[in-house]
Amino acid sequence: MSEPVNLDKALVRRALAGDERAFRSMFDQYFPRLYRFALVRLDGDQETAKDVVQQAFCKAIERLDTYRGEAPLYAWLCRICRNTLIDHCRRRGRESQMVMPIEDNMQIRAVMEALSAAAGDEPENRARQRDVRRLVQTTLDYLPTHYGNVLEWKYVEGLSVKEIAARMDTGPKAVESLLTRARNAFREAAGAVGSAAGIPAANMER
Amino acid sequence: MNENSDKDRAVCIPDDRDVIAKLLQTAGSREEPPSEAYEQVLAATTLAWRDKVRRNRRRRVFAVAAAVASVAVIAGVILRQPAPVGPPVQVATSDHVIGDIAVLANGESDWRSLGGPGFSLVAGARLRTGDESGIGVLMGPGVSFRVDESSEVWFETPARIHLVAGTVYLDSKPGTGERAPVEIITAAGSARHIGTQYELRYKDGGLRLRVREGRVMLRHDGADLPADEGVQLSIEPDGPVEESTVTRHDADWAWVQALAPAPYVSDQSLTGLLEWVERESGRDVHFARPELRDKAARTILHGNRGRLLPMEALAVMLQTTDFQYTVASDSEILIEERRY
Repeated sequence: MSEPVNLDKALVRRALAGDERAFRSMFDQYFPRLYRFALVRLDGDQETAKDVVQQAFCKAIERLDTYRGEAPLYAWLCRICRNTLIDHCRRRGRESQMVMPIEDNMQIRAVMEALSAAAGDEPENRARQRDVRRLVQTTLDYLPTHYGNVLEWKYVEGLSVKEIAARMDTGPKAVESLLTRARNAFREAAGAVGSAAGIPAANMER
Repeated sequence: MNENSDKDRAVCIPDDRDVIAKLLQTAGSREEPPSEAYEQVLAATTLAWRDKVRRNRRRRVFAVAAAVASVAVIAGVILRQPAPVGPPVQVATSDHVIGDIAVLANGESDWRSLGGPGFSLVAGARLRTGDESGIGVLMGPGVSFRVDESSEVWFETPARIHLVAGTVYLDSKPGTGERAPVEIITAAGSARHIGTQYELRYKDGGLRLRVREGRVMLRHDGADLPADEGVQLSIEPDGPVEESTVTRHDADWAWVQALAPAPYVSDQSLTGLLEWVERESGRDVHFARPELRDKAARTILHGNRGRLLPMEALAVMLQTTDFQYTVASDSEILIEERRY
């Protein structure tokens, strides 16, 4: 069993045992990611995304003792959220309005071809760039929490290794090695997403 | 990767880190949910979680009550509890509690819920565990006594524990001070350790002893039966003593690991954690290269992680170091330098 899954199992076990800190840690780690997951699929409808994620999270709590670590906890939560989304849209007769992002359907040929085109300022290119941005952010969400966080802190917020170490209450060496592992994981995940969409990661920057 | 000047940048293969940095910078920060949404969903989810935990605990209390009736029938022996003379003697303190545990203090007539860690048990106290519950108690420095689900024990003195029914485990770590060996007594026989880690089960009139480390003397039918590390002795009612083997890492020790005292690792070296993992998991810890052992001794851990199984604790704590582990075989953990 992988390290991240062992961590997930440990967190779930503690939450089920009544450890409030473990429950809050689980909520804080996964609520923002599930919210983004739902928001994309609801085409930016914040209010509905909040309601759907609330339902999904409550369902997940109810079934938490069935989590056995076969998959990372985030993937398990996304499955519940996806089903909740589908039920929600079905009940409101809005099945057709649920957005199917490319990470859900890698066979959308038009999107794959569009992503390989050169960047420009035309509206369709801005839409493609938005897709790339969302793909990158989705990739970050699928990584273990600390990987996604440390990559954002370093490359988006521009924190130094020392500042990240202070934030994580650890040493600079540990941060360097965590960054290396996080980059490796991001590279693999982005490569998988890109190759499924027919695009190597390097081309996504164009 | 090729190093190129700016002029040639358009055709060179960029450094991998630059690609990742550029992608992340282009993507920007991930959107955080509005604080109102966070608060609302947190409130609803917290209620759901508290309700779930409460229901789980109630299920265990009902199981304890059911176990009360079945234990009395199965044991078929009423062990008289002698009234203690003098002030109550503390025998143990609860350390790790899973589920609901019922306790009957000496002199009382009603069972009540023990609560959590830190409960002081005095001579004469009885403990009962139900389905999916268990308790680990500390009986002094380095002595951990653990009670599996569906079991009942009572503490006569700090050195004599009666196993009414069920399964218990004793871990007396060597080198933690002089102390009289703890004797565990059942209706079919008693066990006294000379060594350190063993499990005793008394169920349906049958007795089973499994020695994980050290040596245990089992007294049965007036005879002393020594059992060394790796030995299992099974005695059915009116049956012969059957001997078989058990490994230190056998899957049946899982319940024991779940009740282990949490290691205190903050500001301690990694070596201490590895020794704890080795002792509790039953797996030998090896280093890929001899010099890594010294490096582990110099690696200081920060922050405790609470109640985790040994392998989970290993995964969590190694994250913050330059080490990684693999389970080389059923009985071995290999510690290596982290690969990049």
